Amino acid sequence: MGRHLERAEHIARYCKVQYFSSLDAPLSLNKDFALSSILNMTGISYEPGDLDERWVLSQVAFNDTNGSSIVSSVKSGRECARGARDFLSTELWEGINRYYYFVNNYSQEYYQSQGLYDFSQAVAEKSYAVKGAIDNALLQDTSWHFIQIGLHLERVVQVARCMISKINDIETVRLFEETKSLEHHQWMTLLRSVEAADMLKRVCTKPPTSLEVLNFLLLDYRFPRSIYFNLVELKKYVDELSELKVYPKDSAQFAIGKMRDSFKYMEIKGKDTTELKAMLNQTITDVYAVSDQLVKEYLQY
Amino acid sequence: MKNLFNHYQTEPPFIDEVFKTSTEPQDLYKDILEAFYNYSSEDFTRLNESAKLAFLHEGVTFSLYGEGMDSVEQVFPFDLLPRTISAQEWDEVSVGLLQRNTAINMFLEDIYNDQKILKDKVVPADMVLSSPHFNKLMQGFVPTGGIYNHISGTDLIKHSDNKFYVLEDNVRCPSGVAYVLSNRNAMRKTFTKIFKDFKVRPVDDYPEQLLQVMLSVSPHAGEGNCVVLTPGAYNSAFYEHAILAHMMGVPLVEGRDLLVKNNIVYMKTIKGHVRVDVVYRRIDDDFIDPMVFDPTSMLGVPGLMQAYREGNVTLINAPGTGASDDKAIYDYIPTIIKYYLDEEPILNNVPTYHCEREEDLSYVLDNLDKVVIKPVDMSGGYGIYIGSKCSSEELEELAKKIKANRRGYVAQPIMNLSQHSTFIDDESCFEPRHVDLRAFTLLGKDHSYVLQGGLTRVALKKGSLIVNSSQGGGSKDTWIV
Repeated sequence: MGRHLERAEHIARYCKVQYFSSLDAPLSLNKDFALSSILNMTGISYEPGDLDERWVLSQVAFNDTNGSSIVSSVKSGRECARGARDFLSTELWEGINRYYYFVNNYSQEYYQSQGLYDFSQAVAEKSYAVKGAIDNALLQDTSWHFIQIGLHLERVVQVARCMISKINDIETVRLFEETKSLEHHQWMTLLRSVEAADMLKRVCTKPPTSLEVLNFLLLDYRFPRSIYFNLVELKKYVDELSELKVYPKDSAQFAIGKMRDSFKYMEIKGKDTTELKAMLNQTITDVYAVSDQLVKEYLQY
Repeated sequence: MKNLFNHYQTEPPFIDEVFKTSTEPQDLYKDILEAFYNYSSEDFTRLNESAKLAFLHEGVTFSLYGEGMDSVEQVFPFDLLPRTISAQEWDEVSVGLLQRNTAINMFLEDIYNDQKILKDKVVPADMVLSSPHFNKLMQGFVPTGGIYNHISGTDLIKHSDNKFYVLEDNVRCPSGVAYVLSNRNAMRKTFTKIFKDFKVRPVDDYPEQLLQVMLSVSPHAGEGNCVVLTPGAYNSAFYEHAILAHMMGVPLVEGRDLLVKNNIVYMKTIKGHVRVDVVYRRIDDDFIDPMVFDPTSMLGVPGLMQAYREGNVTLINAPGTGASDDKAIYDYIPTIIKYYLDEEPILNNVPTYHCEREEDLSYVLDNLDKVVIKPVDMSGGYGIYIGSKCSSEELEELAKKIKANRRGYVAQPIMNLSQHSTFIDDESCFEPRHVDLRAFTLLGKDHSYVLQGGLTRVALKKGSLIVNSSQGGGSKDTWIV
């Protein structure tokens, strides 16, 4: 359930930020640039001729044959909640259900023409309401730990995907004349995509460099959307599931501990974009492997 | 809101529970209608929409089997004007329900053990033993606490003589109680002012009472782990399974979440196996244990029946209870009450013709257009023919079916189901619609309970007598005042 809810929120926010930042972006960054960035982040395959704004927005939000669309993610989260109705609080269940009906009944026509901001904003707000109910109204037992594991697992994946997509965009803008301003614009768009722009300003007193952005999103131990922060939380919740203090090397606990510690001691300086993307892709692969291992260890009959 | 009744017409000979004539309310409804009239039509329409939205957001749904996720769930239609029954009338009905269901329980214990009632030829042995729901694995065994029909859903109608009649007993997996609770919740939120003025008897204690009943029949004398066993999220009544488990604070499980080891039932958890003592199973008999029933069942728990017979787990309701809610047995219930309790039945039965009896068959075939034909072993309103609504071709087909399977059908006169004022969205006004009432009775060891009121079901289609949700029916909150 946690994974599906987290995915929907990230996709909605990335889509909103990319689209609206393109409206008054430097001339070289036309709308097609933003649309292809959105498609790359969500993993929706496309042909160059597909970059029609209405098609892209509709695919990302409402295509229910695509498991990663906002509507599919919310539906899947709601189905998980429906099956677990016995242990969810009434408030949480109603919050998820309201979220589901909002997304399911939203006018696609309105969304495509002028409702993108309204829809995306509402998705974020409803996601926060649901997470608030998770944290404030559920017994923090095994079931709650599983939800947290899902949320943090997916957050690692989604932040990594945002970063990969943006690094691809930055590689593209480096081909343009106004490289420096375009590149800065893209780093700021990335920060806004994970709601990190305001928080980074509290850490850096001047406009951040690319290294500072990367360090913040990958390694900051205080920011809830940094990959390292989420790996620490993941390890904590997986430890709650198992009573083992010494765990086998093929266990999910071991794998997460290893990932967490690799990030703890990671050095970003000197890594080029190819190395960064490779590292982020590997992180996504490793996180999926952890998810599969958790299912194998705890949920298979 | 009074103008929503401007074109209201009662439809004699059917009793209209709300109006004596088209303009004069029944005594019991005078004050309630006055309270409702204080709302404007716009208020009422807004509240109606708000109640529907509340149901949607709370997930108060039922499912019709279909393809794809979206087509399956539907919000249960709900009418805002509550059905009201006087406390005095209801108290009499309650005593009758307890009497009837206690007798049914005694009948079940007898037919699965000494079979005295059959040996005394009070009920034909062949009728009982040939019932498809008679479960041979229940023979020679009495479940913990001596209770078979822990949960009974008795369908009542009000005829034109103003008396309640039992239309049907449901003691296998009766459903609908969750909608009683959600209807009451919706009414409290929507008509808060009216609730303050009328002392309506509560229904919210049902889950607690059910849990008490479950614990009373636990193998561990009042203690133990209880679960609700569901076929899964795509079952038509899943909402009810989930909400009852939630309200009782017990786990909702599927068959694959349980296992039987050494004739003890366990629930699988990530911390290991946890013993289960009482299972409220919402799975039909045929599917609960593939080792002894349908071997293709993926829903049940292998070995469950053996654990049950060993007394290591209690099943709610017991398997084999369908032998008593077979529609052929229905006609014998008054006799059964007299036999076991030595009392006159308090609740009335509808006269019933058994098509396997020669004289009854003759009458039925001569009067097919004047009777209701029911298959003895179906539920949910399916398979029922209302003779007066059938074409001559349909009646001819029906006659053939009956002759081919006489044991499979009973007939009853078409009862004049009472009507209740119901808001019809398409007409934006109130019109009379037929209603029935499903009353819920709980029996435990030294513990019994009758839910105050129950589920009033409304046939939303004009003139229809079929109230079941699966066939387009809706519901109302039921107030005992």
